[in-house]
Amino acid sequence: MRHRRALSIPLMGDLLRDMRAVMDDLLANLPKDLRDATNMVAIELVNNAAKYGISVPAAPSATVDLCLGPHTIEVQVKNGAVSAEAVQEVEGRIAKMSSPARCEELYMERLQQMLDDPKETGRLGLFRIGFEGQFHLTSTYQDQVLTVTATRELA
Amino acid sequence: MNENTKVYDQKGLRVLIMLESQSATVTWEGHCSPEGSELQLSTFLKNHLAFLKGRSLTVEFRPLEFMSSAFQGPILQFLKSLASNGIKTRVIYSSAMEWQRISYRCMKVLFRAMPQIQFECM
Repeated sequence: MRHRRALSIPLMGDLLRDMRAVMDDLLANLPKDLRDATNMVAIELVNNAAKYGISVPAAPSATVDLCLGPHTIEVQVKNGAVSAEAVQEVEGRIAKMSSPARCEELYMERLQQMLDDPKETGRLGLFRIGFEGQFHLTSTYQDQVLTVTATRELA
Repeated sequence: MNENTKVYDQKGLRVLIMLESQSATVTWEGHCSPEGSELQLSTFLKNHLAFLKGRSLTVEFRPLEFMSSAFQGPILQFLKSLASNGIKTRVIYSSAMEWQRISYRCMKVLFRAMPQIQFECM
């Protein structure tokens, strides 16, 4: 006797394509550089959530929420996280990003480390969001859900 | 395509290596998204490094629309390997895209001690 179960496998490519379509629609009237920056921020945060997020009762799957207001644009990503160490690492990196100048320093330091040592990979995306994207990052952690919010003032 | 053209084409990213007798061009096109494989890209670039030796090289990033930070490492190591192999290289970024202008400024600082690699933004 054969027993069969089938599950659909969500593909990162499909997710990114859907997200780009949503963002193109939401941000259509913004300048291209700002659209590009927001796109980069969303992709970096969603990629982190897809890589490191886990399913918890308060967040069975990761979510991304895009909000365009009259004065700000916001990208918020939530995912389950149970490793206190991993959450502290994210919170610690965000806490260091206290000003645009500091974001640039952190970004350049990380690039230099990656240039000097080929084994050094990753841990660049958050600094890129602050420096290149000019978004301000905050994070909260409650009920095993890590929420990272990126906000940029509209000129 | 012919034997003087090598192509990496994966998940929206296309990297074309075009060889001439004295020169070569590496053109990056499309989207360097996180769904792509940094390892495959690194392997492609490493495997073709030997073809670039002895030629003056242009690395053309202007047609690249987006680059995930996951690909920064392979690009840094590729440029570093060009410098360590003495390959005189001109790297061109687009002045029409903010993220490329920023990448240009960062790369110029990072590679300041490797004069074989010159950066332009146009």
